[in-house]
Amino acid sequence: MRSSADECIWLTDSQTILKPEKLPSGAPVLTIPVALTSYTWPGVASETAHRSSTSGPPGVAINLNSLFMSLAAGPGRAQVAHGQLPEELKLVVEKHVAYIQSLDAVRTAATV
Amino acid sequence: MRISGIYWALNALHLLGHPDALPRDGMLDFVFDCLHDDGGFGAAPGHDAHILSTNYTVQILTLIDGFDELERRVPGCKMKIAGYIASRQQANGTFAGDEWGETDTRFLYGALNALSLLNLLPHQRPSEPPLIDVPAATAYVKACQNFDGGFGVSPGAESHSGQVFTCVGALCIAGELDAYLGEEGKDRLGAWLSERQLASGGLNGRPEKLVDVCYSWWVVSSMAMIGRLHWIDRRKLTQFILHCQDPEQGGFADRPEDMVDVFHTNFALTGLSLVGYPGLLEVDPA
Repeated sequence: MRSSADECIWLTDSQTILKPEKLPSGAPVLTIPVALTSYTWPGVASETAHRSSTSGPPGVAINLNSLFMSLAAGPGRAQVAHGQLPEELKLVVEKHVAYIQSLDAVRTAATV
Repeated sequence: MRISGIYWALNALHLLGHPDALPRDGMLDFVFDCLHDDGGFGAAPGHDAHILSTNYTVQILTLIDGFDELERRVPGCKMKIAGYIASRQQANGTFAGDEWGETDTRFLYGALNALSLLNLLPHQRPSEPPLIDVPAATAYVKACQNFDGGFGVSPGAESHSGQVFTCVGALCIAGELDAYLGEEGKDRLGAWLSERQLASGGLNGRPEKLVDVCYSWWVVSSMAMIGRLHWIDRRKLTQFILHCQDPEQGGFADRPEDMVDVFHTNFALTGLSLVGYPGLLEVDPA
C-alpha cells in the first residue's frame, strides 16, 4: 500500500491502515526505521515506503495504543498434565482471571 | 477488534465471579473515545463506526452498569445509539454493518440485541413510534433458514452454527422463536445442531469441519434456546473444553495444544456455564 511522503502509516492490531486525521490526538508513536524492519507493503518495495511526519526519520509508525487489550494468542498453550485423567480436570478460575488481567497489563508496559 | 476484546474479557470475568477485575474507569474512557457523532461506536478510537462494535459497546456498558455515566457525559446518547442502529436497517429488513452497506445476519442480531439491552425495542416502548421494523427483520431471518433446519448468513447460504445462533437469538429477542419453529422445527434444528458434536466431545460449526471450543457457545446456546440442550453429551463437552485450557498460565485455546486467546477463553467459559459447570455464573443463551 502506497503512502504519500508526508503521511504517517499506522498499523493497528488488525493491520488496518488508518488515515492520520482519524487517529486519536496525542497517541504515542513508535517509529521503526525502514532499514530496521523487514516489513514491506504488498506490491511496494521497501525503499518507497514511508516516513513519519511526527517523528522525522523515515520509518513505519506504529500506534502503541493498538496494543491495548492484546488479542494476540499466547503465551500459554492448552495442555493437560501428564497422566491426568479426564475426570480429574478442573477449571482453574484464578489462573484465568490472572490471564485476562495480564492482557490489560500489556497496554501499560507498551505505553510507558 | 479492541472493543470486542474488552467485551470477551469482561464477560469471562463476570462468569468467573470476578466482575471488577478490570479497571472500570479505564474501560469507560476507552469506550467513549470510540463514539462517533452519529451514535455508532468504532472498534477503537479512529475506526469507523460499525454495528458490531456498537453492540459490543452496549454489552460492555450493560455489564459495568455504565449507562448513567454515558448519559452524563453525552446527554441523550442512548437514543443516539438507537438512532444509529435504526439507520442501518435496509428495505428488506436486514441490517448493514456500516455505512458501506455489507449485510449479514450477525449485524441483524447485533441490532436487536443492542436495542433490547437499551430497552428500546418496539415492544419495550409500545406507546412510542417503533425505531425499527421488527417484522421485516424477522421475515429476513426466516428466509435464511434451510431444509436441514439450520440458518445461513443470507437466504440460500449454507447452514452454519454461528449464523444459527444469530438467527435463533434474533427470533428469541423478537419473541417469535417458539411460534415460528414449533416443536417440529426445533427437532429438525436440534438434530442438525446435535450432529455438530464429534467423538472428542467438541463441536464444529458445520459438517466436515474441525471442532473449535467457540462452538460450545454458538451451538449450545442455540440448543438451549430451543430446549434441546440435553441432545448432546454435556459431560464429554465439558471434558473437551477443559482440555482446551492452559492450567498453568490460564486462558483457553480453540482446541487442545493450541495457544490461548481471549476470544476462545470467553466462549469456553460461556459453554461451561451453559452446561452448568459448578461455580460459574449462569449465562443468558440469547
